[in-house]
Amino acid sequence: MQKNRQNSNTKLIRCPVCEAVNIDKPGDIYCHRCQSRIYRDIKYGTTKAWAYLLSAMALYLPANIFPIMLNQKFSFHDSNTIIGGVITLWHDGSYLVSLVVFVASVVIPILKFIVLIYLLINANRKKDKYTKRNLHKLHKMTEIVGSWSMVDVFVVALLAGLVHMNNIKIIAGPASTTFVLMVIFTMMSALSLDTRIFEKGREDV
Amino acid sequence: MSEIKEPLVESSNRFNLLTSIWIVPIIAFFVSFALLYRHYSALGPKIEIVLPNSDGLEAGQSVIKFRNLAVGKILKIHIQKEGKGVIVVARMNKDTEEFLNESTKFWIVKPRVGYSGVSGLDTLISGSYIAMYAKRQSSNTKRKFIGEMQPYRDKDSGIKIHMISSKLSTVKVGTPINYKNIQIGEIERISLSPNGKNIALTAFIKKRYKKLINDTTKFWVQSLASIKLQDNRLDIKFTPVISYLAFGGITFETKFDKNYPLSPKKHIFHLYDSSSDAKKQVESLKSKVVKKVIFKFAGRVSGLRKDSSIRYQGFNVGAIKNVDIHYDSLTHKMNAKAIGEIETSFFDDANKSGLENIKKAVEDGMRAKLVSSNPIFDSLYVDLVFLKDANSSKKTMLKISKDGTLYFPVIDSNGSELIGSISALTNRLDQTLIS
Repeated sequence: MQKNRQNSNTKLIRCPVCEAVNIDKPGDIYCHRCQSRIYRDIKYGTTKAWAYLLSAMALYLPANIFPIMLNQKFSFHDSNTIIGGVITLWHDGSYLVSLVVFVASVVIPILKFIVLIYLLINANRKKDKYTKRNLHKLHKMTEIVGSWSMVDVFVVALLAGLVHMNNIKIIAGPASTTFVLMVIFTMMSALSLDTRIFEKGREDV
Repeated sequence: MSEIKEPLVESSNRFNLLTSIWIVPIIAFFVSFALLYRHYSALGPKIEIVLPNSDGLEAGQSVIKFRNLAVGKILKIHIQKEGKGVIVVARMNKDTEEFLNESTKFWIVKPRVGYSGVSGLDTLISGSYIAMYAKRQSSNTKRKFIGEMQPYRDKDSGIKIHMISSKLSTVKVGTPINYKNIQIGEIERISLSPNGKNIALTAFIKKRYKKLINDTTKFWVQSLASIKLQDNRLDIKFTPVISYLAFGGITFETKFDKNYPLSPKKHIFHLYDSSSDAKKQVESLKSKVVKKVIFKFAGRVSGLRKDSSIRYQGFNVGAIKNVDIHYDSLTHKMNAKAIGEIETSFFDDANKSGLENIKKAVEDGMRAKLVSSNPIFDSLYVDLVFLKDANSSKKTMLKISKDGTLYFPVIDSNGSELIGSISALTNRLDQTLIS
């Protein structure tokens, strides 16, 4: 018991990369499992995430206004925005594809924005045990779901790569670039959010 | 065991504005707004064109071409609520701004198998498009246009002339107008004249051939084959160019003289059925005065038909337009009321109506008489002859009704014709014997 009590004085720290529990020693510490440096300060934890999130939101605007795919058939020039493509697919009767594209390119990014804003606002607030757990769950979810919004970009990239005929061309529009950047920035935002910040204020409870 | 002092680690939850990470969203905002600005600043004006129908145009795909360059795209097409057409909404390029003014015309181009080849073949693949014609002008800008029914042609590129014809035969929109078998124009539009009796044609003549047309010009439909009996020789001619065989053509003849001005705007040309029809007409350059004339014939009138000519000393001075036939119960004869048109100005050299001269001629014994032009086919024409023994005491007057219709006195053809011809024959014999 005595030993335990003594041991309880030793501080524990969680590796920000692999989440292994390490003993917090003064000086530089490296994770015993993944050898990455464990930093203690979470000074810019939310700032970075906010910056990336705002960048993502800024890029989401042109991603929806500009055409994502340019279609050239002989002298036809057809261009489709994300929403336009969803509507066209729906009218053509391919409801499932339309729904998949809609969820991947519209619902998920917007949901991610909302969740990240919620996380970042609540990160520094006082919270109880259950809220903390929920914040962790939400964060995990955004990380998992993040890459799935690339479906639309993937389709465009595939088509642009595959369709190479003399008179028929598919070209990735300007929106595809901004869309990719948007997805990358949301993923970076979620990653740069140091989840240890959720633990803050344990003492306050 | 050496004591290592634990470093004081301060953690901060403060929101820090002044970190280098904020460069990222600033660049992102800058880039995305730059993109949006470039997009919206490059947008040209939005215009509306009213067209009778959409004719294969597709929203989001069809383009507007100016000098064959795509300068606009059709955004949507919707039904015109007040009216019978459709409204085409299009986004134009920014550099067309100066060309959207009062002079701007729009029309739909679609593939057409025409009389001089196939036109608009490119539209078979690309679909129909809207063509635009405009003159650069920065004032009087317009955003709402009414589309043209047919391709618009610049007034400077040629002239438009009007023709009327009583029947259409082989003439259609696009029928070429040839001069010495070179195409110098084509029929642009065919419509029924307002009174429904004639066919009005609008033709386009290329600018460089403008001088070939003047007031003496006579147009006729090129026949595919013509058989002519001339100078005791039978001429059978076929039109040489194969396309006319299929589609026909219009040709013309003009007298070139400085005195004959070009006034096609005022002038409405007559489109004759054949070259012989055209040449038969009196070539008068005076302004024509045509009056309605009514003859009342009795007896054998069955050979008198619509388009039978009215002649004076061998010249055509008019034509019968309508023949009303009715039975007279008193005399048991067929009476015919022939309504025709007579060119009264023929009877006067000065630029007058010639009506006075006709009046005087009738007083001096001019009568209308039915003469057989062809004994085999029983066709008659109206000849204006002078009655030698005209009873000058019982002067017959030319009656003119209020609306200007002439009631021309007639002489009975059946009886007098034979006598007249015999007397004429004896006269002629006498003359030949004397000489």
